[in-house]
Amino acid sequence: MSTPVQTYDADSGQAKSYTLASAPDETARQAALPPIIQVEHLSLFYGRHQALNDVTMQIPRQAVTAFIGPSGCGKSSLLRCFNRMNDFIPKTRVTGRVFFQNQDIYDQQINPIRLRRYIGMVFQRSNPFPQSIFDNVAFGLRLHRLGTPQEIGQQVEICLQKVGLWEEVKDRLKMNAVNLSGGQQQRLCLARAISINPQVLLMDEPASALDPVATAKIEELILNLKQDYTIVIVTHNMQQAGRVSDYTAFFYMGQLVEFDAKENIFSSPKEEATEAYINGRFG
Amino acid sequence: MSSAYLPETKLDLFSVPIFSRTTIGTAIFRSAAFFLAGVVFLIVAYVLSEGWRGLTPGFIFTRAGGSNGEGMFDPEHSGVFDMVVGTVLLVFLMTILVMPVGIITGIFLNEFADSRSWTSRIIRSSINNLAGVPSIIFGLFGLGLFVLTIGSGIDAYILQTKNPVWGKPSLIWAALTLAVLTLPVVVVSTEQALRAVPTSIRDAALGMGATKLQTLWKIVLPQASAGILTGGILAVSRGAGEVAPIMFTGAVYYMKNLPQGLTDPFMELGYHVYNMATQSINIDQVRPLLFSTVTTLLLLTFLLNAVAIFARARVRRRLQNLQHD
Amino acid sequence: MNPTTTSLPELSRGTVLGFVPPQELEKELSVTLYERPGSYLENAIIRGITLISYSAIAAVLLIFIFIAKESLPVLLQQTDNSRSGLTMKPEDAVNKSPAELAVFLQLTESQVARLSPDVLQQLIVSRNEELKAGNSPDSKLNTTTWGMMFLPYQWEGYNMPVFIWQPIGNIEKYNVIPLIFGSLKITFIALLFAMPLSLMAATYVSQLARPETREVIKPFIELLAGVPSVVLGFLGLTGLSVLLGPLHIFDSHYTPLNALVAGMALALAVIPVIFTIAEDAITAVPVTHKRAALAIGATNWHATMRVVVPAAMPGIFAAVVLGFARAIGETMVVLLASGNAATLDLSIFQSARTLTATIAAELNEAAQDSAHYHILFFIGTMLFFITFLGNILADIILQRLKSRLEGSTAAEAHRLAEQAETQLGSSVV
Repeated sequence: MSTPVQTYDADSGQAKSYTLASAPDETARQAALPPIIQVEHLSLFYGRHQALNDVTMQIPRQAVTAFIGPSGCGKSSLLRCFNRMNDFIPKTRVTGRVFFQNQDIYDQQINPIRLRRYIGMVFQRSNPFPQSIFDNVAFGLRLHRLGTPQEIGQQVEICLQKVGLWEEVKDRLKMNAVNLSGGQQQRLCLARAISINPQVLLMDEPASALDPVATAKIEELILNLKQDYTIVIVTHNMQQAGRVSDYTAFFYMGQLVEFDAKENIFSSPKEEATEAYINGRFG
Repeated sequence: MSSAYLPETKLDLFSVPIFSRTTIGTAIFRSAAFFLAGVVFLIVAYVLSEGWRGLTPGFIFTRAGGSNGEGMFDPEHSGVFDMVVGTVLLVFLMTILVMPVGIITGIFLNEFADSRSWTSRIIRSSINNLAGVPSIIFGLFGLGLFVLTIGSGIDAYILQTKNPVWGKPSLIWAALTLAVLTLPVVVVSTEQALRAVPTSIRDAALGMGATKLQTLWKIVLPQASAGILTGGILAVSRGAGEVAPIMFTGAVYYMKNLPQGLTDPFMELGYHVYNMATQSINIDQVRPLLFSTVTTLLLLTFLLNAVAIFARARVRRRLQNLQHD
Repeated sequence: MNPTTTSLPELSRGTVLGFVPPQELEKELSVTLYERPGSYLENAIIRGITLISYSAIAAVLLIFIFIAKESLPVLLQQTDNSRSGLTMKPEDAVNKSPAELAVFLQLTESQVARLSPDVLQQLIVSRNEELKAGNSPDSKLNTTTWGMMFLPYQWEGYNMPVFIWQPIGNIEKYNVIPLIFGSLKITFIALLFAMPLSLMAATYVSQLARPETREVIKPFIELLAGVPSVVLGFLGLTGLSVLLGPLHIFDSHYTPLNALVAGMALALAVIPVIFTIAEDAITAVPVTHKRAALAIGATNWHATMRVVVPAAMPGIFAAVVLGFARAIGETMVVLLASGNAATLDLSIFQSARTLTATIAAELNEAAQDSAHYHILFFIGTMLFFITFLGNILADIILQRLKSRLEGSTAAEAHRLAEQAETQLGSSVV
């Protein structure tokens, strides 16, 4: 499936040539690119509770990175650190540093509102605005004053095409988005997130509230979207991590236990805890 | 585990006791609830049945003193036009004054303040206190602050006049007093309306790089507007019924003319009911007039409510069915 | 604003909105990420919102300040309404100081200052005659001292010390005990009726009633909150007093407007307060508590009475406290229905005069800056404090209940929610 808008091709046409079948080569290529997000000694506290403990990792560019781990392991908290959504939770304290494109996003001078324009987010529960479908996708474009009304119209169409929703809703763009089904809503939220062309897409268990068919559609979308965006996904579902991710990070008790290419994590984990979790011995 | 442990008698799965603590207790509680509802029904029915006949258009549109300006207690010639005008003006002014402050405070408490910070705790506790201060205290407060301090101050230092213009009970001071009194009503219902907007929608907007104010203006407020309007309704119906706060701040026993400006005193329905009930010489003669006035007061509050409820329903419909426009 | 039906190939790459080419990304980020958060306008608006929100605090403070300010002369015991008890020579109108004249003539100094000597002389003559006519030793008393306001005193002509509120007359008597007693008596009667009825109704509506019954009953009871208190007072005056008329056989001194009539009318004003808050508190108890009780075979009644109601107890207590504050502060009902006689009679068939009704009835008659005026504001201060304490108490109780039912702080709640959701998800794996 070809996407209507190709990535701007900085790396001399390499991006056009890769296919899903050649995953190992691709992994090697991605490894050659500089990482888009670098986390250095990050610790996160909610009041007295420590959610993350000294995490250091690098999120590779133009790939899908999955965070897995048992409940309360801090994987969602880490994801929310990337676009500073944790700022909204009172008494949150962060130590360590997170670099996005070599900018320390926890710098005092950084404006988190501008940051979120480059790092989009899709939430666990679909959360369309109680507005029309069109207005939902156009929200971010209007918010950031991107484009004329006509260009916005085109962009909305492109984004709905990308998430495979265009054919389903093109005749009722003025319908209230809350009347869509759960899976459609979540794809609409995805369209809304990519409408402003963010560099990174954060997904917090995007399919956990959906039925298997809708989940499969979302997973297919993720595989398509990784050509254009760097994707970080939090999931409980290990099969899902296995299906969609290129890299997988395993978290336990607020610590990053292991982070490697998906194949290595699932076939030959180095740490005992990872193996135990993968084999379902705890969770 | 073995069948020996099963009781000999057959299990009773069917009997429903008619007299038990459950049925008797429930019956008592139910009768309390129905009794209260019945009392309310009776009150409204009693007032309406007694006052219905006198409630002619002539009665509503006749001046308080009758056509010749005499005989306020004369059931034949007296009307309630002055009082209706006074009440509507008062409530209208009060609404204009209280709504912006109340809505903004509600927004601050729910959207901007950390609910555990001292500021927000003190504001919230002030709101709760304001809701519990006796209405007569608001009357004393309005007299002390608005009439005698601010009003007299304007007269003495700005207008430099000996004849009180602002420094006497008047429409604006009564409306301000009622605005302070109804502030908690608006704040609390604004807060409730905002709380009903799901956090996930806010997160979605914030996650796209909207500022808090943009999220509020574009996403949250349109959603909450119906609930905020409810606050307005409640404030209006509360304000229209209060008498004690305006006794010393603006309402008068009798006025020849309708109020011409903000600094004029006025006649008010509730205060008029009080006056007629306590000052008339022959209560039986005034009785029909009294009941008609009380009915007018009740219907006016119901009418104001109905208008606002209609507006609220329209906002809600527009939000729910975007495909119809 | 309509989405165009442009076919996709026509879209050039240049029009893709918001797309940042990788080489330019770092450069753009180094600028945009450091832009000031929000515009100046937004910051100003937020500051304005914060500022306006303080007006609630200002309102409470101003209420307190302006009530207390007017009652300050009483609180500091600076008022003195004693008279010399001796006559004054009319010629002294020019010699005596305005302060002395004011005391003698029972006027304020500013009033005295405005009068011409001729008028003053006439006033002194008539005052002399007045004093001769009723030359009582009591007239030398300052009746605004703490002792006179709160302790019994044996007035001339009485054979025992008594509490009397009688602000108009030859000698003004400002003992507030009968008023406090009247307020408490009527409040007690009102709560006696309102408390059981509204608490039972709240429990029924919240837990026992079927949904369709609830939808009918609840609005009816809440409608009561919308009935103006002057209408309730009027109904007490015209309806209830007639309805309860036959009760006169129980008391030879029965008065048609009495504490019972006022108390029952007042109950109607208090019921919606207690009902609404109690109903909220009972409904706020998590449904899981009740389900657990039902699952072990309790009837709906037992689950409600043994699990839900005990859990909501602090809220119910707060509802009663707020109902008390409302009852003691209610004005129009008692003004119209209580008969307004300041007595210390325990009988519920006797008239009573409350603190609130006293202010409402007498403030318009009290000359500004007179002792009477200041004492009425002093009564207002007392009322303010009584209700203030009640409100604070209820506030604390409700906050405690809220945090107990909702669990801990926001951050912990977030963590718990994360764990709970994760558990749901991982159980699928």
